[in-house]
Order: sequence, then C-alpha cells, then structure tokens
Amino acid sequence: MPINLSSYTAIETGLFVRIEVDYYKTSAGATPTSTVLRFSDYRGTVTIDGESYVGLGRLLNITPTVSELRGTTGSVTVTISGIPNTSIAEIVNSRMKGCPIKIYRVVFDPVTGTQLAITGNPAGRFFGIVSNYTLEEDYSVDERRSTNTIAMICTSNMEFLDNKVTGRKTNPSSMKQFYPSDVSFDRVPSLVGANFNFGAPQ
Amino acid sequence: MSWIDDIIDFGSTAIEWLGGNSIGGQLARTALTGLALNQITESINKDNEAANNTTQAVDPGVRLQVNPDTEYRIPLVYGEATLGGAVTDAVLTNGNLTMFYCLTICERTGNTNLGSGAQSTFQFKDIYWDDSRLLFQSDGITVSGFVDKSNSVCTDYNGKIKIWCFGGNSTTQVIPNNYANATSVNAYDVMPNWTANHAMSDLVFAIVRIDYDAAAGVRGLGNVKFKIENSMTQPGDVMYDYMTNTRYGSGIAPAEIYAS
Repeated sequence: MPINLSSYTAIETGLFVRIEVDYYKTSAGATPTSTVLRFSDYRGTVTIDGESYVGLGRLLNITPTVSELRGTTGSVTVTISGIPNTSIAEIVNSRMKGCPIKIYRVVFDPVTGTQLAITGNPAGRFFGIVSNYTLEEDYSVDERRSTNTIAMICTSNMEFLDNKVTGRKTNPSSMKQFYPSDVSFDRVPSLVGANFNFGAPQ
Repeated sequence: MSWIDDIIDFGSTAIEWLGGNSIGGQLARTALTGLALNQITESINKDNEAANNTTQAVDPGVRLQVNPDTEYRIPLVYGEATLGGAVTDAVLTNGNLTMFYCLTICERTGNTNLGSGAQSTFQFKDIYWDDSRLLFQSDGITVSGFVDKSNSVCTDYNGKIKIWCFGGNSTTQVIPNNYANATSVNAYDVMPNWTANHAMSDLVFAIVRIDYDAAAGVRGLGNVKFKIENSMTQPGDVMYDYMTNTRYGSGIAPAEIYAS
C-alpha cells in the first residue's frame, strides 16, 4: 500500500528489523528460550505496535531491497557492527539460521520524532528467513581490542518457497517422518528386485 | 497215444525246427526277434508320449517382478485426474495362485472452505486395466469384465480380480461410482500380513487381488489407472491448502495468509 507523503515538507525514515528466534541462549549452559530480537537504524528506542525497537543508528546496515509488482525472489543482508565480545556467545549459542525476519520502513516526523499516523505506515519491506550468518572479527593488536560484525543473509519467502521441497515419498523413513507408528511402507525397500512365481506349481 | 501227447510232439518238433540250422528256422527266428523289437519300441514310444502329455498340462506360471521406487514422490490431486499408483506392497499367497498388491495413488488433502470446512473426500469414478475400463459385480469390488477401446465388453476377468479402494486411510473404503456396497472393510483385513499399524495415513490407495488364470489372460498386474475426483475443487481452497499444508505444501502459517 503506497504512503501519501505529499502534505509533508520533511520526513525521517528508519528500517526496523524483527527476528523471531525460537532457540535463544545467552551462554553455552543456559536454557534455550524463545525470544524476539527487535532493532532499527533509527535513533533511540521506538515503540511500534506495542513493541519496542532498540535503535542501533549507524551500527545497523541493511542492503537495499527491490519492490516489484510481481512477487520475485530476492535477498538482503542485515549487518550489525560494534558487537561487544561479551555478546558473541549469544550469537554462537543461539540458532539464528531459519529464523523468520521481517523488515519494515517507518516514517517519522523529523521535528517531533514521532511516527506519522498515516495509512500504510509502517510499510513492509522484506519478509523472509535468515538463511545464513557470518561473524567477522576485526582485531587490533596495537589497541588490544576487537570489533565484531555479524552479517545475516536473509532469503525472501518467495525464494524460500522456490527452494522448498516437500511431499512424502514411498519409503519407510519418509512415512515415519510424518506418521511415526505407520508401517505401511516398511516393505517397500525389500520388494525392490523381488521375484514372485505367480501361478507356479508348488 | 492221447491227443495231448500229439500236441506235445508237435510243440517239440516246432521248437526243434526253430532251434535248428535250417533256413526256415533261421528266418522264423529273425521274424520273431523283429516282432519282439517292434513291440518294445511301440511300448517305449507310448510311454514317451504319455510323459510329454503330462509335461504340457502343467503351467509353470509367470515370474513377476515388482519394482517399487523408494524415491517416488506421492502426487497430489485437486479436482479430477486419471493416474496410476505406485506399488508399495505385494504378497503372493494361496499356493502361488493369488497376488495382492497395494497401489498408493495420491495424498489426501485437507479441509475445504479455506481449512475451516469438511475434510476433502475422494471418489473413484473409473478404474482402467491396460486402457480398458473395468466393470464390477454388484459389490463394487469384484471385477466382472472390462470395456475395451472398441466399446466391446469382455468378461474374461470375471471373478479373477478384486479391487478395494480407499480414500484417506486403511479404514475409509470407497466404492467406485455407480456401485453400492453397504459393507466396508479395512485394508489391513484384506491385505495379507497387515495389521492396524498399516494405517496408510492420509493416503488414497487401492488393494488389488489377482487370482491366476492363464486361460483368461490373468497373469499379473496390468497397467492400472484410477480416475479419481477430489471434493476440493475451489481455487481458493486449493491455494490455501497447498500454501498451508506442512506435509506436501509450503507450510505457511495460516496467520500469514489473509484468507478473508
């Protein structure tokens, strides 16, 4: 849905990222929990739809997305810089791959810093899955400190659906994946190449 | 001298003549030997003919090989389609004279009316055997014959083949269209060696029983095709089902779809 901004002389925008992590651990020995990570490249913490997003400012970078009339495949990379060493454990021990990610663009009034109450704001920019992530460490020997950067490669739902292979095959493991107690396909492997002397005298 | 003595004397004279070196005796011995050989040869030939006749009467049967594909992906049918089935089980019983096959046809789909309606159902509109449409007896299970391409009815298969159709699992028997049978059976009560754990969960399939009859041409499983119809035919229902189903579809959460 397009946003009508014709009546505004100045606006501010920010990209807001929402990642649902089903398996989130703060340390190796911690109990996994389900959590939602929310952050933006806007200044300060902003509440949208009742959820607060942490402002990362220039530490967050999101590659541009392409809007097309027809649904097409695509991917974006969400990069967060300046991650302290103490937070690396959260990334390493959590399962980021496969998490649903949503990116919205929100328009603000630059004077008041409040979200414009107009139709279509916020606007969805990207809905997909975190398909991979990389951690980069920039270690400075002289300063004896390091800077960490995480880059999350996100695949759109369209591409995800294109790559998805589903369906049941006629073998026992495929059947038991969906119905563990169903033994209907258990004999299929043993029938491969089997001979039956149909009508032969005993 | 009595007449018995006369006979004995004649016999003695004849034996002496046969055993003698006279030309007549030698010819007679040769003739008798030839006669004996001829009788022996005829006897041997009769025995051989009898043995040959016995061999031809025994039918050696046929060697069947079923090659189920463990990588076969079970298809999905919306609306109406004619398709074959994948062999997922085969059993030879009754002294090698009866074969049972399980043919898996397609997946059972979800609920109609955008997932909120009734469970979709399947009808078996027609069944084809080597491109000939099968006719059934009144029970809707036992084949009575077939209609070939020239629209001729052949009853050679009468009683030799039985087909039980199922529309979702082992307990949902479906009688083909135009037939009626109030008594339904479970697939695991028909297929040998099956138990209740052979549930065939969410599958449309058929159990085929074939009784060997070489004279009638019933020697194995033909090219069986099923013309089936899924009650899920509305485009919206189909899209919704395919998008949301986690078994054969995209597995999109229903909350992500603006179904209204």
